[in-house]
Amino acid sequence: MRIILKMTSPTLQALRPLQEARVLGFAGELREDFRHRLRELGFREGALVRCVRRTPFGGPGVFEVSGAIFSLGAEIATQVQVSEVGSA
Amino acid sequence: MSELSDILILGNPNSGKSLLFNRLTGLKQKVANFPGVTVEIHQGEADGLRYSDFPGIYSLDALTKDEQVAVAGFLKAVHDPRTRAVLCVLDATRLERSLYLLLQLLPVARAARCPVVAVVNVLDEIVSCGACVDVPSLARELGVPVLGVSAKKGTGLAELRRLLSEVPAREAADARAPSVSAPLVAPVAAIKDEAKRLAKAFGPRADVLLKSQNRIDAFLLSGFFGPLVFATLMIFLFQAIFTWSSPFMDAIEGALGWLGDRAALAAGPGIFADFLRDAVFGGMGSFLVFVPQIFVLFVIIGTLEDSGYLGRAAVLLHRPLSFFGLSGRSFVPLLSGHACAIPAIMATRSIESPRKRLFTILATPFMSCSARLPVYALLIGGFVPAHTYLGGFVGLRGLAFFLLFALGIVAGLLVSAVLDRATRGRAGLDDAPFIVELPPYRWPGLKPILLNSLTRAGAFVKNAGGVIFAVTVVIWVLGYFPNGAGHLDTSWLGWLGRFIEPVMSPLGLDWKIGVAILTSFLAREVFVGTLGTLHGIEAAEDHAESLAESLHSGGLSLSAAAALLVFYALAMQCVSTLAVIRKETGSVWIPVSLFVGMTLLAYTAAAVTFSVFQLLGTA
Repeated sequence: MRIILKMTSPTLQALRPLQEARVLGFAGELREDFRHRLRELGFREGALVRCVRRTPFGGPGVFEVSGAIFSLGAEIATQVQVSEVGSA
Repeated sequence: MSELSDILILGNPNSGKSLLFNRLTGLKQKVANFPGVTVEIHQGEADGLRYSDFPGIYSLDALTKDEQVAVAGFLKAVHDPRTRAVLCVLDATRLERSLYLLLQLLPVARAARCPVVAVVNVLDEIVSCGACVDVPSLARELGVPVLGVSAKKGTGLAELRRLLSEVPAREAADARAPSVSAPLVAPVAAIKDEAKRLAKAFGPRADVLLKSQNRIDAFLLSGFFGPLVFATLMIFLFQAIFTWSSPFMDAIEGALGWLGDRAALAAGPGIFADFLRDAVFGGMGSFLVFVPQIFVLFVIIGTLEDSGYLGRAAVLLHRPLSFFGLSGRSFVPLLSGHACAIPAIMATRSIESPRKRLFTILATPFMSCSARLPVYALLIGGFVPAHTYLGGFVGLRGLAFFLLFALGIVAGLLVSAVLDRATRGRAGLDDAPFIVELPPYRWPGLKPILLNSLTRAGAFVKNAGGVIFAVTVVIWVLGYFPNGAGHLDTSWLGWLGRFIEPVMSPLGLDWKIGVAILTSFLAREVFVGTLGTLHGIEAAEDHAESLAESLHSGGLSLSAAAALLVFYALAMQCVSTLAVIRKETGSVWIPVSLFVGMTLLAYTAAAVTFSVFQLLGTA
């Protein structure tokens, strides 16, 4: 089971509260203008992202990146690939 | 008069641009402000300068409709010789991201030879955290004048005004820069790195500022307290509309009644006195009474907006709203739709998904806007007793209001859900992901909110008042002639009314209310004005009983009143809303089918309500 999970790299969606990770890249199917906006907001390759909290009912996650707080829905958080997670 | 030169105000969303704009222009700005997000370019004048307040943008590469409006407007204006300078507003609490925008603007402005002035706003907040921004060093590194200000406290504004008025006027030749206005393809990484370096060198430490925000978020976004606080706030909102405004409404009603009697006395007996009393004071007056409720609604929405809570509400509601084919971002338009659908539909421009934007536009007219309030208030005041429970905290009338608001919300959500399911997987409309910034919490300034609400309520009265007055006059003429006061049944209007009576009888309504409904297809609030005028003509001399009482004595049953309420909750009776939908969607088909659909739905639901109440009554 563990092996299967490791085959795909984790995404922002997998981050639990207070865990940190670095952005590796984006899923292939993510549109270029969305990638561009994510980079502009700070979610660019190599950036350190911290999950601040998850919200009720499986709602959007809340993330801290370059001194600001953003909330990303599951549909986009699953498109941002991150490095192995570690807790802060 | 000499030509005004323009100052373009640009900045990130939530950087306090609009507050700065209000401070700089005083109250001399054009009344074009509507609640909700700033989605249009607003202009105001002061000291020979014309300020343009642009919607907030993160970068020059626009993603949403409101950003497109701002970026296109900026690229055009920066090449205009009348533009004197660009005023870029930086948020001291979000310096890195603010600088990213400034660093993108700078080369564009320089290419057009347009001077740039930057202000570091919200300084008061970081100072209270014990941090600071090294403004002089920042100015040196950027090569543009930078000032530290607080739009909220008003500090640094005098200096800013002086600086702006001293910017040398551009020479016409300079302004003939290339007219090619395609955004430069920005190397994100390079600009981002530079913004980060500057913010780190001269700005406050980010973690200091985020600490208090995180503490509040931990509470407001938690699984238990988050939804609880949200529900409490919403119930409070609807209760407040009714309870806070009632003393003001009583005062206005009293004052207008007194004035009307005086005016009629002064005019002496005759047609003119009848006209004054029935059409002017009866018709217009019954609408003006409800302005306090509209004002209270604007105050509460403005407070939630300025505090930063609306962003959290969007996050909390994203999942539930997704179920109905909407986005968390649909929440702000849907909430301000309770004030007025027109600005709410314009506020949908900030929804990045065109598909969810369309569904939000279609659901918004179901929200109980302030124009429905007069109708609700009249009928609830006339048919629901003023019982209170829990020591006066929960009133039966407030509860009735809440049910009607809930009916509108549920209907809007269901319509959206059905459309979403019906069009799923079909090509045509793009979807886009949910990305929302959570701004720092801020104490809302009471004075700007009150002033703003006053301006908005005033604009509402001004816009609606004209239509209502015109309709009132026409109704009065039709109802007064040929036989004069007290002969409504034999008037031209009475004759017309019998024509539509067959359509109204399944709802238990008589022809007078039928006429009022017909006139209210122009705008809902006309309903009360029309009824007020009709009541005035009919009662002639006797004005002792109020409009609500006269509905009872006129034979309107409880079942019919309930049917009428349901009809108003669901019907699409607003020409202006249809016009805005036509403009925002670029389609004639969408507003026309929405109108037909909503009217049929409202009529059917009202007929069902009437039958159910009748059955309950006889059982």
